[in-house]
Amino acid sequence: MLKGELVQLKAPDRSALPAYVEWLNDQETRGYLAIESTYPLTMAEETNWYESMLHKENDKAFAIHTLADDVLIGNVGFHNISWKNQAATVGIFIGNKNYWGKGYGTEAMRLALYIAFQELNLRRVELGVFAFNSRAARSYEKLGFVVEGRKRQWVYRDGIFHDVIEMSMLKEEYLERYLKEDEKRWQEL
Amino acid sequence: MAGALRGERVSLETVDIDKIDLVNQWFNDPLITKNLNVGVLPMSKDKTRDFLVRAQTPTATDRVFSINALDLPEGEEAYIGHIALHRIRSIDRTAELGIVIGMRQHLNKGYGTEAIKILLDFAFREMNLNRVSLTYKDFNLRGQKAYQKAGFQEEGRLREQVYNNGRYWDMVIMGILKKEYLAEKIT
Repeated sequence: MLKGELVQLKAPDRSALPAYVEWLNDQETRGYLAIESTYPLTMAEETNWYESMLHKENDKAFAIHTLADDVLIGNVGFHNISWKNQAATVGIFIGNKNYWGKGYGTEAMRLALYIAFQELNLRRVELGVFAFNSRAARSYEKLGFVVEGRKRQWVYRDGIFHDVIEMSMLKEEYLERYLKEDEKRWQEL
Repeated sequence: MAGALRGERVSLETVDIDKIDLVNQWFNDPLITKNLNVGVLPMSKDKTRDFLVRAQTPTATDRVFSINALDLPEGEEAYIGHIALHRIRSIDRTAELGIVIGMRQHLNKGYGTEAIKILLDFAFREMNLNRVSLTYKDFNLRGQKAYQKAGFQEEGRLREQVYNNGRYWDMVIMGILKKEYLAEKIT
Protein backbone atom coordinates (compact mmCIF):
# COMPACT_ATOMS: atom_id res chain seq x y z
CA MET A 1 0.00 0.00 0.00
CA LEU A 2 2.93 2.26 0.70
CA LYS A 3 4.82 1.36 -2.42
CA GLY A 4 4.42 3.09 -5.74
CA GLU A 5 6.39 2.68 -8.93
CA LEU A 6 9.23 5.02 -8.01
CA VAL A 7 9.12 5.39 -4.25
CA GLN A 8 8.06 3.72 -1.02
CA LEU A 9 7.21 5.26 2.33
CA LYS A 10 8.85 3.87 5.44
CA ALA A 11 9.10 4.76 9.09
CA PRO A 12 11.92 7.27 9.60
CA ASP A 13 14.94 5.61 11.14
CA ARG A 14 17.22 7.22 13.68
CA SER A 15 20.14 6.59 11.33
CA ALA A 16 18.57 8.95 8.77
CA LEU A 17 18.88 12.03 10.97
CA PRO A 18 22.32 13.20 9.77
CA ALA A 19 21.05 13.18 6.18
CA TYR A 20 17.97 15.18 7.18
CA VAL A 21 20.15 17.75 8.94
CA GLU A 22 22.37 18.11 5.91
CA TRP A 23 19.43 18.49 3.53
CA LEU A 24 17.51 20.91 5.70
CA ASN A 25 20.59 23.11 5.99
CA ASP A 26 21.01 23.27 2.22
CA GLN A 27 20.21 26.84 1.19
CA GLU A 28 18.27 25.91 -1.93
CA THR A 29 16.17 23.19 -0.26
CA ARG A 30 15.65 25.29 2.82
CA GLY A 31 14.42 28.16 0.67
CA TYR A 32 11.27 26.23 -0.23
CA LEU A 33 10.46 25.07 3.28
CA ALA A 34 8.45 26.83 5.91
CA ILE A 35 10.78 25.94 8.72
CA GLU A 36 10.89 28.48 11.47
CA SER A 37 13.96 27.12 13.20
CA THR A 38 17.09 29.19 13.24
CA TYR A 39 19.81 28.35 10.77
CA PRO A 40 21.70 26.12 11.01
CA LEU A 41 19.58 23.21 12.13
CA THR A 42 21.58 21.11 14.58
CA MET A 43 21.73 17.38 15.11
CA ALA A 44 20.41 17.99 18.64
CA GLU A 45 17.30 19.74 17.33
CA GLU A 46 16.70 17.05 14.75
CA THR A 47 17.13 14.31 17.35
CA ASN A 48 14.59 16.09 19.54
CA TRP A 49 12.19 16.17 16.60
CA TYR A 50 12.68 12.46 16.04
CA GLU A 51 12.22 11.53 19.70
CA SER A 52 9.07 13.59 20.03
CA MET A 53 7.73 12.10 16.79
CA LEU A 54 7.84 8.63 18.35
CA HIS A 55 5.28 9.62 20.95
CA LYS A 56 3.26 12.43 19.39
CA GLU A 57 -0.28 11.58 18.45
CA ASN A 58 -0.89 14.45 16.06
CA ASP A 59 2.25 14.37 13.94
CA LYS A 60 3.23 11.55 11.61
CA ALA A 61 6.37 11.41 9.50
CA PHE A 62 7.38 9.03 6.72
CA ALA A 63 10.75 8.55 5.09
CA ILE A 64 10.72 8.58 1.30
CA HIS A 65 12.90 5.83 -0.19
CA THR A 66 13.37 4.90 -3.82
CA LEU A 67 11.63 1.66 -4.69
CA ALA A 68 14.39 0.37 -6.96
CA ASP A 69 17.37 0.62 -4.62
CA ASP A 70 15.89 1.71 -1.28
CA VAL A 71 17.83 5.01 -1.16
CA LEU A 72 16.54 7.58 1.33
CA ILE A 73 15.69 10.75 -0.61
CA GLY A 74 13.40 12.83 1.59
CA ASN A 75 10.52 13.01 3.99
CA VAL A 76 6.78 13.58 3.98
CA GLY A 77 4.68 14.15 7.08
CA PHE A 78 1.42 15.33 8.56
CA HIS A 79 1.48 18.08 11.14
CA ASN A 80 -1.14 19.43 13.47
CA ILE A 81 -3.47 16.53 12.83
CA SER A 82 -6.83 17.48 14.24
CA TRP A 83 -8.52 14.16 14.92
CA LYS A 84 -11.80 15.79 15.82
CA ASN A 85 -11.92 17.83 12.63
CA GLN A 86 -10.33 15.02 10.60
CA ALA A 87 -7.85 17.43 9.04
CA ALA A 88 -4.11 17.88 8.80
CA THR A 89 -1.36 19.88 7.14
CA VAL A 90 1.06 17.99 4.92
CA GLY A 91 4.69 18.87 4.30
CA ILE A 92 7.21 17.25 1.98
CA PHE A 93 10.76 17.65 0.81
CA ILE A 94 13.09 15.72 -1.44
CA GLY A 95 16.54 16.35 -0.04
CA ASN A 96 18.55 14.45 -2.61
CA LYS A 97 18.60 16.78 -5.60
CA ASN A 98 19.27 13.97 -8.07
CA TYR A 99 15.61 13.13 -7.61
CA TRP A 100 14.17 16.58 -8.20
CA GLY A 101 11.81 17.09 -11.10
CA LYS A 102 11.40 13.39 -11.92
CA GLY A 103 8.11 12.56 -10.27
CA TYR A 104 9.51 11.11 -7.05
CA GLY A 105 8.04 13.81 -4.84
CA THR A 106 4.71 13.69 -6.64
CA GLU A 107 4.39 9.98 -6.10
CA ALA A 108 5.50 10.22 -2.46
CA MET A 109 2.75 12.78 -1.88
CA ARG A 110 0.23 10.53 -3.60
CA LEU A 111 1.12 7.68 -1.21
CA ALA A 112 0.94 10.06 1.73
CA LEU A 113 -2.57 11.02 0.65
CA TYR A 114 -3.52 7.34 0.72
CA ILE A 115 -2.36 7.24 4.32
CA ALA A 116 -4.24 10.40 5.20
CA PHE A 117 -7.60 9.54 3.70
CA GLN A 118 -7.71 5.75 3.69
CA GLU A 119 -5.84 4.86 6.87
CA LEU A 120 -5.87 7.92 9.15
CA ASN A 121 -9.52 8.67 8.39
CA LEU A 122 -8.91 12.33 7.56
CA ARG A 123 -11.31 14.35 5.44
CA ARG A 124 -9.12 17.30 4.57
CA VAL A 125 -5.42 17.71 3.84
CA GLU A 126 -3.97 21.16 3.34
CA LEU A 127 -0.60 22.62 2.47
CA GLY A 128 1.05 25.93 1.76
CA VAL A 129 3.47 26.48 -1.11
CA PHE A 130 5.57 29.59 -1.62
CA ALA A 131 4.42 31.60 -4.62
CA PHE A 132 7.83 31.30 -6.29
CA ASN A 133 7.91 27.49 -5.97
CA SER A 134 6.01 26.72 -9.15
CA ARG A 135 7.52 23.24 -9.55
CA ALA A 136 5.93 22.13 -6.29
CA ALA A 137 2.64 23.89 -7.03
CA ARG A 138 2.39 22.09 -10.38
CA SER A 139 3.03 18.77 -8.67
CA TYR A 140 0.27 19.38 -6.11
CA GLU A 141 -2.18 20.48 -8.80
CA LYS A 142 -1.40 17.40 -10.85
CA LEU A 143 -2.31 15.28 -7.82
CA GLY A 144 -5.63 17.05 -7.45
CA PHE A 145 -4.99 19.71 -4.82
CA VAL A 146 -7.24 22.72 -5.21
CA VAL A 147 -6.06 26.29 -4.72
CA GLU A 148 -8.17 27.94 -2.08
CA GLY A 149 -6.36 31.08 -1.20
CA ARG A 150 -3.26 33.18 -0.96
CA LYS A 151 -1.64 34.44 2.19
CA ARG A 152 -0.11 37.73 1.09
CA GLN A 153 3.47 38.56 2.07
CA TRP A 154 3.58 35.63 4.46
CA VAL A 155 7.23 34.67 4.30
CA TYR A 156 10.45 36.67 4.27
CA ARG A 157 13.10 35.14 2.01
CA ASP A 158 16.07 36.64 0.19
CA GLY A 159 15.29 40.13 1.35
CA ILE A 160 11.65 40.37 0.34
CA PHE A 161 8.24 39.10 1.42
CA HIS A 162 6.55 36.39 -0.62
CA ASP A 163 2.97 35.19 -0.83
CA VAL A 164 2.00 31.65 0.08
CA ILE A 165 -0.54 29.73 -1.98
CA GLU A 166 -2.94 27.72 0.13
CA MET A 167 -4.07 24.41 -1.33
CA SER A 168 -6.17 21.55 -0.04
CA MET A 169 -7.74 18.25 -0.97
CA LEU A 170 -10.94 16.78 0.43
CA LYS A 171 -11.64 13.10 0.82
CA GLU A 172 -14.34 13.04 -1.85
CA GLU A 173 -11.94 14.61 -4.31
CA TYR A 174 -9.32 12.03 -3.40
CA LEU A 175 -11.73 9.11 -3.83
CA GLU A 176 -12.89 10.34 -7.21
CA ARG A 177 -9.34 10.07 -8.50
CA TYR A 178 -7.80 7.24 -6.53
CA LEU A 179 -10.49 4.91 -5.15
CA LYS A 180 -10.20 2.34 -7.95
CA GLU A 181 -6.44 2.18 -7.69
CA ASP A 182 -6.57 1.82 -3.89
CA GLU A 183 -9.17 -0.94 -4.02
CA LYS A 184 -7.07 -2.86 -6.50
CA ARG A 185 -3.97 -2.63 -4.34
CA TRP A 186 -5.93 -3.65 -1.23
CA GLN A 187 -7.35 -6.72 -3.00
CA GLU A 188 -3.91 -7.68 -4.24
CA LEU A 189 -2.43 -7.70 -0.74
CA MET B 1 14.87 -24.34 24.68
CA ALA B 2 14.12 -26.18 27.89
CA GLY B 3 10.67 -25.73 29.33
CA ALA B 4 9.23 -24.45 26.09
CA LEU B 5 5.66 -25.29 25.24
CA ARG B 6 6.10 -27.86 22.51
CA GLY B 7 3.74 -29.17 19.91
CA GLU B 8 4.46 -31.26 16.85
CA ARG B 9 5.39 -28.48 14.47
CA VAL B 10 5.83 -25.42 16.67
CA SER B 11 7.08 -24.54 20.10
CA LEU B 12 6.24 -21.46 22.11
CA GLU B 13 9.28 -19.82 23.63
CA THR B 14 10.31 -16.51 25.07
CA VAL B 15 10.42 -13.35 22.97
CA ASP B 16 13.90 -12.63 21.65
CA ILE B 17 14.95 -8.99 21.39
CA ASP B 18 17.79 -9.98 19.06
CA LYS B 19 15.14 -10.70 16.43
CA ILE B 20 14.39 -6.99 16.14
CA ASP B 21 15.28 -6.71 12.44
CA LEU B 22 13.14 -9.73 11.60
CA VAL B 23 10.19 -8.54 13.66
CA ASN B 24 10.51 -5.05 12.20
CA GLN B 25 10.13 -6.65 8.76
CA TRP B 26 6.88 -8.34 9.82
CA PHE B 27 5.57 -5.04 11.14
CA ASN B 28 6.33 -3.34 7.84
CA ASP B 29 4.64 -5.87 5.58
CA PRO B 30 1.08 -4.64 4.93
CA LEU B 31 -0.04 -8.15 3.99
CA ILE B 32 0.69 -9.06 7.61
CA THR B 33 -0.20 -5.83 9.40
CA LYS B 34 -3.57 -5.20 7.72
CA ASN B 35 -4.95 -7.91 10.00
CA LEU B 36 -3.32 -6.55 13.15
CA ASN B 37 -4.45 -3.74 15.41
CA VAL B 38 -1.44 -1.66 14.38
CA GLY B 39 -2.58 -1.50 10.75
CA VAL B 40 -0.58 -0.89 7.59
CA LEU B 41 1.39 2.23 8.49
CA PRO B 42 5.15 1.66 8.65
CA MET B 43 6.70 0.96 12.05
CA SER B 44 10.09 2.29 13.08
CA LYS B 45 12.79 0.11 14.52
CA ASP B 46 12.62 2.10 17.76
CA LYS B 47 8.90 1.34 18.13
CA THR B 48 9.58 -2.31 17.39
CA ARG B 49 12.26 -2.32 20.07
CA ASP B 50 9.80 -0.80 22.59
CA PHE B 51 7.35 -3.56 21.73
CA LEU B 52 9.94 -6.33 22.13
CA VAL B 53 11.22 -4.95 25.42
CA ARG B 54 7.69 -4.96 26.80
CA ALA B 55 6.91 -8.34 25.23
CA GLN B 56 9.84 -10.12 26.80
CA THR B 57 8.83 -9.01 30.27
CA PRO B 58 5.80 -11.01 31.42
CA THR B 59 3.44 -9.12 33.70
CA ALA B 60 0.36 -10.10 35.66
CA THR B 61 -1.77 -9.05 32.71
CA ASP B 62 0.28 -9.86 29.60
CA ARG B 63 2.32 -12.86 28.41
CA VAL B 64 3.90 -12.89 24.98
CA PHE B 65 5.57 -15.94 23.41
CA SER B 66 7.49 -16.47 20.22
CA ILE B 67 6.25 -19.08 17.78
CA ASN B 68 9.07 -21.29 16.54
CA ALA B 69 8.70 -23.74 13.69
CA LEU B 70 10.17 -27.18 14.41
CA ASP B 71 9.95 -28.67 10.95
CA LEU B 72 11.91 -26.21 8.81
CA PRO B 73 15.19 -27.19 7.15
CA GLU B 74 18.34 -26.58 9.14
CA GLY B 75 19.50 -23.00 8.75
CA GLU B 76 16.12 -21.52 7.87
CA GLU B 77 14.75 -18.87 10.25
CA ALA B 78 12.48 -20.74 12.69
CA TYR B 79 11.28 -17.69 14.65
CA ILE B 80 8.08 -17.16 12.66
CA GLY B 81 5.64 -15.31 14.90
CA HIS B 82 4.34 -14.17 18.25
CA ILE B 83 1.34 -15.25 20.26
CA ALA B 84 0.08 -13.63 23.43
CA LEU B 85 -2.45 -13.49 26.18
CA HIS B 86 -3.38 -9.91 27.00
CA ARG B 87 -5.58 -8.30 29.63
CA ILE B 88 -5.39 -11.32 31.89
CA ARG B 89 -7.92 -10.81 34.69
CA SER B 90 -7.06 -12.75 37.80
CA ILE B 91 -10.49 -12.78 39.43
CA ASP B 92 -12.54 -13.38 36.30
CA ARG B 93 -9.99 -15.88 34.89
CA THR B 94 -10.15 -14.38 31.38
CA ALA B 95 -7.65 -13.27 28.78
CA GLU B 96 -7.54 -12.02 25.18
CA LEU B 97 -5.53 -13.86 22.61
CA GLY B 98 -3.41 -12.15 19.96
CA ILE B 99 -1.28 -13.81 17.30
CA VAL B 100 0.88 -12.98 14.32
CA ILE B 101 2.67 -15.22 11.86
CA GLY B 102 5.06 -12.65 10.44
CA MET B 103 6.50 -14.34 7.38
CA ARG B 104 4.44 -14.67 4.24
CA GLN B 105 5.87 -18.03 3.27
CA HIS B 106 4.61 -19.58 6.51
CA LEU B 107 1.00 -18.43 6.24
CA ASN B 108 -1.74 -21.01 5.69
CA LYS B 109 0.51 -23.84 6.82
CA GLY B 110 -1.18 -24.61 10.11
CA TYR B 111 1.52 -23.07 12.31
CA GLY B 112 -0.84 -20.47 13.75
CA THR B 113 -3.57 -22.98 14.47
CA GLU B 114 -1.18 -25.26 16.34
CA ALA B 115 0.29 -22.33 18.27
CA ILE B 116 -3.21 -21.33 19.37
CA LYS B 117 -3.97 -24.88 20.50
CA ILE B 118 -0.78 -25.02 22.54
CA LEU B 119 -1.49 -21.67 24.13
CA LEU B 120 -5.08 -22.67 24.93
CA ASP B 121 -3.79 -25.79 26.64
CA PHE B 122 -1.47 -23.63 28.70
CA ALA B 123 -4.21 -21.10 29.42
CA PHE B 124 -6.79 -23.65 30.59
CA ARG B 125 -4.68 -26.42 32.09
CA GLU B 126 -1.79 -24.42 33.54
CA MET B 127 -3.04 -20.93 34.18
CA ASN B 128 -6.53 -22.11 35.08
CA LEU B 129 -8.26 -19.48 32.98
CA ASN B 130 -11.97 -19.95 32.39
CA ARG B 131 -12.34 -18.04 29.17
CA VAL B 132 -10.15 -16.87 26.30
CA SER B 133 -11.50 -14.43 23.77
CA LEU B 134 -10.22 -12.60 20.71
CA THR B 135 -11.35 -10.20 18.05
CA TYR B 136 -10.49 -10.13 14.38
CA LYS B 137 -11.17 -7.69 11.58
CA ASP B 138 -14.11 -8.78 9.45
CA PHE B 139 -11.95 -9.16 6.34
CA ASN B 140 -9.44 -11.46 8.04
CA LEU B 141 -10.68 -14.78 6.70
CA ARG B 142 -7.36 -16.51 7.31
CA GLY B 143 -7.66 -15.67 11.01
CA GLN B 144 -11.29 -16.71 11.14
CA LYS B 145 -10.46 -20.14 9.77
CA ALA B 146 -7.65 -20.74 12.24
CA TYR B 147 -9.73 -19.62 15.23
CA GLN B 148 -12.63 -21.86 14.25
CA LYS B 149 -10.27 -24.80 13.86
CA ALA B 150 -8.86 -24.13 17.31
CA GLY B 151 -12.36 -24.28 18.80
CA PHE B 152 -13.37 -20.65 19.12
CA GLN B 153 -16.95 -19.71 18.40
CA GLU B 154 -18.36 -16.41 17.25
CA GLU B 155 -20.07 -14.43 20.01
CA GLY B 156 -20.84 -11.13 18.39
CA ARG B 157 -19.43 -8.22 16.55
CA LEU B 158 -18.26 -4.74 17.36
CA ARG B 159 -19.86 -2.88 14.52
CA GLU B 160 -17.62 -0.54 12.54
CA GLN B 161 -14.95 -0.72 15.21
CA VAL B 162 -11.92 -0.24 12.98
CA TYR B 163 -10.92 1.98 10.05
CA ASN B 164 -8.78 0.53 7.26
CA ASN B 165 -8.47 1.19 3.56
CA GLY B 166 -11.00 3.99 3.59
CA ARG B 167 -13.86 2.46 5.52
CA TYR B 168 -15.06 1.11 8.82
CA TRP B 169 -15.04 -2.62 9.41
CA ASP B 170 -16.65 -4.75 12.10
CA MET B 171 -14.49 -6.56 14.63
CA VAL B 172 -15.80 -10.08 15.21
CA ILE B 173 -15.63 -11.37 18.79
CA MET B 174 -14.87 -15.01 19.40
CA GLY B 175 -14.47 -16.94 22.60
CA ILE B 176 -13.77 -20.36 24.02
CA LEU B 177 -14.50 -21.58 27.55
CA LYS B 178 -12.49 -23.99 29.65
CA LYS B 179 -15.29 -26.58 29.70
CA GLU B 180 -15.54 -26.46 25.91
CA TYR B 181 -11.81 -26.88 25.55
CA LEU B 182 -11.63 -29.79 28.00
CA ALA B 183 -14.67 -31.54 26.46
CA GLU B 184 -13.11 -31.34 23.02
CA LYS B 185 -9.82 -32.56 24.40
CA ILE B 186 -11.41 -35.74 25.80
CA THR B 187 -13.35 -36.70 22.67
